[in-house]
Amino acid sequence: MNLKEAVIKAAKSLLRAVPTIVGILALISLFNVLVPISSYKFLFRGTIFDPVTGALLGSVITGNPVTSYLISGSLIKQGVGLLTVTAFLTAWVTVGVVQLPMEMQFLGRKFAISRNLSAFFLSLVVAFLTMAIMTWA
Amino acid sequence: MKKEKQANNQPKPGRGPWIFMFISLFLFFPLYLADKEKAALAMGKFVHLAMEILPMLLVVFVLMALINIFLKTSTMVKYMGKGSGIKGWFIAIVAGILSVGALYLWYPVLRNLMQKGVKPGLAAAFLYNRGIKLPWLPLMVLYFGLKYVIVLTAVTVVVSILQGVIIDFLITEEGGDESILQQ
Repeated sequence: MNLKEAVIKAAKSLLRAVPTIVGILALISLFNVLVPISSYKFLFRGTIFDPVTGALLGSVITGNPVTSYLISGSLIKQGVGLLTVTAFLTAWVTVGVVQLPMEMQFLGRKFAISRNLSAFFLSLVVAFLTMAIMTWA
Repeated sequence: MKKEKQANNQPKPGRGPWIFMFISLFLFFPLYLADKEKAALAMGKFVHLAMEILPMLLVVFVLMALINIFLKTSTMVKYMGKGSGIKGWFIAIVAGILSVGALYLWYPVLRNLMQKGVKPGLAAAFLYNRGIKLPWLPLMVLYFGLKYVIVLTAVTVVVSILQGVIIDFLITEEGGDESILQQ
């Protein structure tokens, strides 16, 4: 492929991604303003389901990793366990519910759904393994 | 014919992404009516995020053009195709850890690579390892401690391979939707 063809193909691919990127950015901005960090604590009840709730929360919220550290730090201070926080942190960076339409558009519906679903369950596996090693080591 | 072939290499999103964008942007309107201050805050955040990813879009554009020019299908199949073995996993993991920018900016690049023969499992492993944010690790150590960060990072790398295997099984073995990538 020559330079001109390569540039045109790259530009077309990127331009097709623009509306979805704009949509995602709008949703992230609205979510961050409408749902304050302090409200997250109410989701955790100190039960065995907390890691699942943590992974769910990490899956639907999106943003800079630093934000997830800030939220995690706040959750730990409020008594939420490290197992739950690890599931939350891992899901935050590996699962993307907001980005799912774009992932399906570019990488295929089955790939996107399989990847996000497995990443959700694997965030729990990562959390349990991390805590097991931390306890053992 | 050439044009048709070229067009076929692009995703066919239809109106969906545009409708998604307009609905998402329209949501600012009821917020503006309900609370002008919050709407301004959200809009400011939106502009800030857009400015933040703009330079990254340029990087992705250059990267995609370079992939189109230099990476031949046969090369990609050799290093990250079905028979790539450990070498393929290694490349996917390292590239995932070193890559920067928002996750969704990499979808067009990955599509390009998958069309050139990269295994879906390796693309998934790449995306999973994007969870390891090298530049942010010092801050993470500050928050959670060195031991925790080392363990979490190592576990993430190992589990990324597990995810790659799962995706390869679901997509390739069951004849998943590879067709969309060949469109």
